[in-house]
Amino acid sequence: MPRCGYPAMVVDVMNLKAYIRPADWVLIAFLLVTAVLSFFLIPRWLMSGATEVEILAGDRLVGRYPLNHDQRIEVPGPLGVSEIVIEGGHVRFQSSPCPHKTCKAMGNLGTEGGILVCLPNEIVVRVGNGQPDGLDAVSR
Amino acid sequence: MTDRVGRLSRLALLLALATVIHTAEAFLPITVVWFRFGFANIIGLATLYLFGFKDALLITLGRIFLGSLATGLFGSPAFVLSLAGGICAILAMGIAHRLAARFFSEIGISLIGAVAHNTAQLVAAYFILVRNRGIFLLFPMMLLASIGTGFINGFAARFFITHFRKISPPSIPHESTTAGADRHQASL
Repeated sequence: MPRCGYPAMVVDVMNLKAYIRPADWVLIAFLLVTAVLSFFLIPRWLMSGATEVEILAGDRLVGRYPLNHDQRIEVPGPLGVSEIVIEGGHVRFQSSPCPHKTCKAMGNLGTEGGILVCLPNEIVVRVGNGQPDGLDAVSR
Repeated sequence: MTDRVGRLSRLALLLALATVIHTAEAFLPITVVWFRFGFANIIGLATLYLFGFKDALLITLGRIFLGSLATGLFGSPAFVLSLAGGICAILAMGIAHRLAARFFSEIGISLIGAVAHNTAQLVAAYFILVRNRGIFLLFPMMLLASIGTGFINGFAARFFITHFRKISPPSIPHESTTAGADRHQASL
């Protein structure tokens, strides 16, 4: 390698080939492959954590249902039967005997998680994997 | 006596350098560079090569404590994150250096340290800050970044180590004559 006016020490270090070992290249290649693979595998792993819909009537657990399986569930409450529909990865109140239909107005929930409540009919629909979710604050 | 003073002063120099780099890096705006280069790890790696694992651990812990005092982040989540990352990085590099120094150059060891640092930081962030598995979506990006920073740091550490060895003799006992070595042992 020509000196190019640099001190010999700089030239020594710049000459990567003189000291980098085969195992270094293997490590770099391995890490690159891991990085590329994890771009695909980690989102899949995160999504596979089967999101569940948990339905409570009063303090009784009606059941847990997978969010990715379309079905309708009829839940009896003090006022009558509420109909909860799981469709296309979302859950919503289809019909409810309550007077104001606030629960229907709450719309639907997907994998992002959350909670739907029908207070008069004492029904709670919770979506999530049981972990507290989202950030309240970020500081640095 | 002399070699212990020499060792102490060199370690103090390294610790001061590492603290300054750590502190200076904390002033990088995170909006522009969303990852840290971890340049302070150059000194940790160099200490590992020059003085061994225990001193490298000491330098790393020292620079994290002193650096966080200087930036005013002592005790904050950011401090815990850099503590977890720093300890894991130096442990991984120490183990790799001990077991596989024949196979890896400084660059390989530095890459291992950078990856360990990022992984530990992400896991620590999951446990103390976010508690949402979504944070692991950052892992591929951090892994890619750590390949780049690990490479650069290994390169810089190589330079630092050769330079350091040239400007200061490795250690005084090596230079001393047999009689001097005997006297040294007697004094211990």
